[in-house]
Amino acid sequence: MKILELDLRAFGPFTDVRLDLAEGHEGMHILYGPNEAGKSSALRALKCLLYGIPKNSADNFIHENKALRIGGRLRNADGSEFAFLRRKGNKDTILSPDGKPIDERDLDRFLHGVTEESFGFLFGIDHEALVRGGRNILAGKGETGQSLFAAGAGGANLRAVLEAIEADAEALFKNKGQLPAINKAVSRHQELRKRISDLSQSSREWAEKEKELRKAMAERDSVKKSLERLTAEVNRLKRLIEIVPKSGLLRETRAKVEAMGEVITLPEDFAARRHQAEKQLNAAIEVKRRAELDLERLHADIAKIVLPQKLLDQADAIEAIRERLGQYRKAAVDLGTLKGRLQQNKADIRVRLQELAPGLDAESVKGMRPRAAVKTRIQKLASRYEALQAEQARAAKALRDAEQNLNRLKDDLKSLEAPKDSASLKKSLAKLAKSGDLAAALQEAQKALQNEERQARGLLQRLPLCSRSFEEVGRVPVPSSETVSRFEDNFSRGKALVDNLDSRLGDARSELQGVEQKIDAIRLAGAVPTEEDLEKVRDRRQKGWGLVKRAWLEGENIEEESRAYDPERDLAAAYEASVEQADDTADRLRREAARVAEYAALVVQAEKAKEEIARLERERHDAQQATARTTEEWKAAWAPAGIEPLTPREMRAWLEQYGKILQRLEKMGEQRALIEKIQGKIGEHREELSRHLEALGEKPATEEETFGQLVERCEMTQEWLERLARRHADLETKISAMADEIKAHTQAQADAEKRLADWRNEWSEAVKILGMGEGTTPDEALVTLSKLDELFKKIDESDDLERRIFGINRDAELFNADVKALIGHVAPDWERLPPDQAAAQLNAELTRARDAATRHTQIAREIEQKGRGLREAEKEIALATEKLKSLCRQAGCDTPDELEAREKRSTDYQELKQRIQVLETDIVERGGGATLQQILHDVEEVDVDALTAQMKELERELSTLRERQSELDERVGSLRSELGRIDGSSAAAEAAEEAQGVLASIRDHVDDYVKLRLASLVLRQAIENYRAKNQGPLLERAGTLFARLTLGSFSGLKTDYGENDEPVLQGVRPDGNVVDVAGMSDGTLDQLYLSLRLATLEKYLETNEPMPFIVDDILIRFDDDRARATLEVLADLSEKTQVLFFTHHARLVELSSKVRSKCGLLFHQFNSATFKDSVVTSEEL
Amino acid sequence: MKFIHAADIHLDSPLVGLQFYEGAPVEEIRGATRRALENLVELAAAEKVDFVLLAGDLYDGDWKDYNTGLFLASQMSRLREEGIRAFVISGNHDAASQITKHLRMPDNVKTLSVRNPESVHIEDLGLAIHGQGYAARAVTDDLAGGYPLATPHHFNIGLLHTSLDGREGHESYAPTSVGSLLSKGYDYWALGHVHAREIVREEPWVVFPGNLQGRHIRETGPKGCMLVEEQDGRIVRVEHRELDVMRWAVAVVDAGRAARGDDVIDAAIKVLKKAVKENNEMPLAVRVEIMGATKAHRELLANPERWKSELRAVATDISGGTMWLEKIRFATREAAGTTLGAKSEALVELMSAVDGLSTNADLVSAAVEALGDLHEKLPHELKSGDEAIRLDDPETVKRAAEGVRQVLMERILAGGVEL
Repeated sequence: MKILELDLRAFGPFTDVRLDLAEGHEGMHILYGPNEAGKSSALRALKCLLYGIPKNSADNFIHENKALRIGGRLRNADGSEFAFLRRKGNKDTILSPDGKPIDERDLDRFLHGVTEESFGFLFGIDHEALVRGGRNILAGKGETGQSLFAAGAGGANLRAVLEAIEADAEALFKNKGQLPAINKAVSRHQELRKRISDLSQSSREWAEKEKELRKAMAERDSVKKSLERLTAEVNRLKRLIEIVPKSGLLRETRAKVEAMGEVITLPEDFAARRHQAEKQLNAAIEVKRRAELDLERLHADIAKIVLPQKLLDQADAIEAIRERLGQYRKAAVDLGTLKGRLQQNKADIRVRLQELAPGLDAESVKGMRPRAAVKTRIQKLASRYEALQAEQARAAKALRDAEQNLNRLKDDLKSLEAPKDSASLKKSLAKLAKSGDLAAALQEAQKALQNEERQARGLLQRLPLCSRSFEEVGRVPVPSSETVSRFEDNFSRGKALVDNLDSRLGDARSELQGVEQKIDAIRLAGAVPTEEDLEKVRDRRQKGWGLVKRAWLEGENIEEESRAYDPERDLAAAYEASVEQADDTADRLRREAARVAEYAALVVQAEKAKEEIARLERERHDAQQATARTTEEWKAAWAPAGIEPLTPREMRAWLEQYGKILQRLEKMGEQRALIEKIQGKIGEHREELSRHLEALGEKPATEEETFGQLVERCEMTQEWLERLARRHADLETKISAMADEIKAHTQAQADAEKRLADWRNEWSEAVKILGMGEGTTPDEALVTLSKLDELFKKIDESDDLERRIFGINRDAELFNADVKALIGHVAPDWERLPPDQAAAQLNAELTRARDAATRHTQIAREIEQKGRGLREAEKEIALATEKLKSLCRQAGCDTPDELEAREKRSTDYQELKQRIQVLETDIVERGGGATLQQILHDVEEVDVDALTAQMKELERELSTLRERQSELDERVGSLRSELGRIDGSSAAAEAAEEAQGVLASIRDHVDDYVKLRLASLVLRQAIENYRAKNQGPLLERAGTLFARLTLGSFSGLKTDYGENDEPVLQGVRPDGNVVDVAGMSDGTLDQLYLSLRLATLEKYLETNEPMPFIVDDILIRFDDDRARATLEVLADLSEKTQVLFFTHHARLVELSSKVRSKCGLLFHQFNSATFKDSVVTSEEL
Repeated sequence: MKFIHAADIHLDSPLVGLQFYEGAPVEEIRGATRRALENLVELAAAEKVDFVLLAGDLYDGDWKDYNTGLFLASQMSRLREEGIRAFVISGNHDAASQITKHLRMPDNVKTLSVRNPESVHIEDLGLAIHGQGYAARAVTDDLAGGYPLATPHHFNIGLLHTSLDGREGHESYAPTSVGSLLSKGYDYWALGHVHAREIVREEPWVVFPGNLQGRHIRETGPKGCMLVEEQDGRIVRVEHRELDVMRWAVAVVDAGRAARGDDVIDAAIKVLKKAVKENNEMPLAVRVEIMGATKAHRELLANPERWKSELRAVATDISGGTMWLEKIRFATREAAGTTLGAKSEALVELMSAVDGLSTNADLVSAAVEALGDLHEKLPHELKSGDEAIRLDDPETVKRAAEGVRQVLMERILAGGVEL
């Protein structure tokens, strides 16, 4: 099938855009539209045309859904065509071109069973599919089967499909797995089965357990009763055994108490209080003894210390002297240095004075020190001076420059021609421009005229029968075509009539001939008597009889007549003969009646035929006459044209030819009128322009000058005048601006000079203060200022040094005097020592005296402290002694030494009393409710050993029973809990329900798993089968294409065994080297995949009806050369099937000009509004 | 006199074929057979019946959990509290059951002998009940033949677990004929064993009440017991009463007019809503069968899981969470004119490889081998019975071919160019 036309009547951005795809063998069409031009919409429209507009189509943004229409015209290889419109909808979406619904099956005949899906799949390729195809080959390591199959199946990513199928299958089940759904469910099911079995309670077990429980419970009850009884008995015995020793002990203790007699009971804390008093007393005695010893030692120490009181009295003065001593020693050192510096300074001052003011000394100069304000002012003025000067110079130069410029501009203006007004000329030219390029139009019209004339002359030369000249030819009075038609009809009617008559004549003649032959046949069989013959012979007989009668009865001479009657015989014989003849004839007539009748009929028939022939011949003659007349009229019709006409049909052809000449002539007339009109316009313009030129003082138009030249001259003139005017205006503007500038500069210069003058006034005043002349330059003034500064600095320094030397000397004298006074007072022996040494010694003595004083004070304080301690110890001793005395009184004894014994007696007594009470309570408690007296009485007669033996026996019995009881408890508990679990619960049933749920889910998963598992198996099988069948031819063809697409970088493809012993694809280099797919670039992989796709497609086309191959911009990653090669391959493919190449890369359009293929490329450029259909073949490029 | 006739309780027999999924009404249908028995007891109490007849198969034969027996006993105790007697015979399942042997029923329950026909006369009701239970799992003798003739001046009831003269889907046990039954002169034959309700004849009545609760998709429709009323020695009413707590139904969705998968869902919603309404909004287990030649065929098979979960969600939604989709069968066909007419050799090869699943012996045996691991692993419950999965059977491989074709076409076509 081939798409002849795609009519984007109302779809997406398109309105009535038609795309003619009929050209070419099958045609390789490049549909070029830049971005947004509607390329994708066109591509979609193509698919919608064939397979319907999807429900949710977004191509309704201009046209409403119900208005969407795509038209198309398709052609099958057998030449049948189908034109239809597609509308959007659920049914009746195919309409005839005039809008009536058509059966959709009519379209199916052109789709050849290729569905929407498989169309995209087998006959579509886009960039993405190409890249994906290439990548998949790489990902599959070039596995041959997969690569071929994938190319054959429209680029499915087989590896991914296989992996996905297998992954999905493995997610359902894996032999050794635990996680996949089925594995999980199976193990869950096993768990549940176990759970059901665990939860299910066997009924026999239940009955047995119930019985057992009842037995255990009965036994437990009896054990419990025995236990209670035994326990009571044991307890009683135990009590008795316990009471016996206690009652003995009670008796003994009571006896001891009685033996003690009267006892003073002391309070519990008595012993503690006594101990505390004794301890206090002893401690105080010890303190007192120590204090006395210390005091004695301290008094001895204090007596040994001697204090130099005089020295100590002068301590502050000595301290002050010591402080001044360091200062005194340093000043003595500094003095020498200061004196040296003073001398140097004074020398410097002299030198400077000599320079600045010879004859003056330092003192007299001091009054001349300049004030700070003056200094600052001079410095400021000096710094401004240069700026002012520079400003003044700049202003002067600017003024000069401006004046020069002005003069130059004025000269320029003077030398310029005066401007003229060219407005009207410009207007005329504009008007002319509006009427277009008249000269060119004229030329074109003339050329067209010549062309028409040439063609008309050519036609005339080829026109037969006409000898008219070219000029006359238009006026030849030829008959109209209607007339010719009429004649043609007449002629043909005439001819038809004659022919008809001829044919009928032929028929009639042959009929006559037949009849005559029959007549002859009858005649040959013997003469046939006819009624006429009979009549004739009877007439003769009658005639004879008449003669006989006349001769016989009337006697007439009948000689003559009888001779006439029968010249040979006499009348009698003749009459007799005639009678015989008549009889004979009558007899024969009677005898041969049938023959006679037939004969007669034939004769009649022959007569009729003859008559018919005669009539026809007459008619034929008439018809021929009529034709001859028509021929005359026909000639007459052409006579005015002076033409001897041929047949009307020939003349009609002639007329057509002649008509063409007339058309040409008419066009010539039109062209002439056009030329005249253009020439008229040119004349008008010419005159107008010439007028303007004259007005502007230019040469008017001349005869020799063509209109074009004139116009050009006018344009140049106009342009020159405009330029002149512009130049004038420009210069004037500049002159006026320059004048303004000069004014400004003049003002600036004046300002600068004034500022300079002001400065000079200020300056002379300032330097005068310094005693410098008016002419002193700022530099000089500044130098003098700095020298003066230095001088005064030196003078100030000298003054300072002198002051310091004087101070040092004064301080030293004071220090000496103070030292001397102090020594005289404290240690007159040291008077001869130098003051500083004396001061140092005084200080050392003072330190020693102070140490002695400190020690004295310390010991005195200690003596006082110890005395206080001694007094406190004595007070403590008295207190403790009093306490002990009071305790003795309480215990009823005389001395503290007896206290301890009294205490012990009291404690023993109390202890015994308490023990008795405890025993009594104990006994009563164990006595089982009897009084103490009773119990003590009862116990006296008991045999303890016998009781003990009895009790041990009972206890053994008890422990056995207890063991049994706990066993039974446990047993009952466990049986109860076991039976408790069997309570009619539905847990097992619920587990069974869940197990059924799990089985159901396994069932479900198994279905899916089987499908997936088998799908993977089948797919692998299909791939292998496909490879085995197609590997040879497909690879060879794909190899050739690959070589072409890679421009010979590869020479072909082969298949070899790869790592896993599977056949893999390899590229072969021209030098025989092989390259694995892993070694190919992305682009080369794309080309490899494309080769496989195209080879598969070609194979398909060998046995199937072609379908258009839709290519959507696949060359994005191809370099120019490979892209060109690809276009060539596709162009070659278009010999077998239509190729529609959509692109929005202008580069491809350029590239395709270099494409060499026997099938041309056809271009269609479009944007959303129009489809510019520029069909170009590569030959033309 | 009023009594209830029920049979085939199959207590604690699990519901089969219900795959758990999010939103499935697990709680609503848990312990359905128990709830149905409780309903029976409640009905008996509400109607104040004089007695209850249980015509065999109280338990599932291979079910061992004694709890089940205890539950039955507890329900019988409740009847006892209401003063209602129960007459029971054992069926084939009970004979096989361990529970029966040890269970002590309360004293209002009379279990008839399994060795000989036994007759019980209740004089205050003028009632004679005759019956014999199954001593063994398979009873092939005509038990009814041994039943005594009707007791004169009594209302006679025959209690029998039988397949009568043969009933589809049921083992032939205690075979007998209606004629043989009628010859005994009883007023009412209370039969059991056949799970489908059937009034074999009236006056005298021969009745199968059907089972109490449907347990799989082959037991669709309302299930329950017969409520029978007698006045003056004549039966005046035999009425079926529904006792089931959930019901099984098959919903056939005609996808013929659907253009897309969503249209199929819409059609299914209508059918399912109708099912909910028809069954008085009780919990339902529904098998959805999507049939017909439809344009949506490919879309459905492309991603059945998606449509399954959508249908399940829809079912949950419209039933208020009480509908369980037992199974969703996609039995659609390609609509005419939508077949894949691709003639690409690769695809043709693929299609013929798929066909090889039926025709190519090597491929079939490879396929069976590929499924071998799974076959080994499958629980034996799935490998036996009416709907056994037979992965070792070449027929299974053949039947899968169409599904395989869809899987492959879908997955491979998904890689095509979208023009």
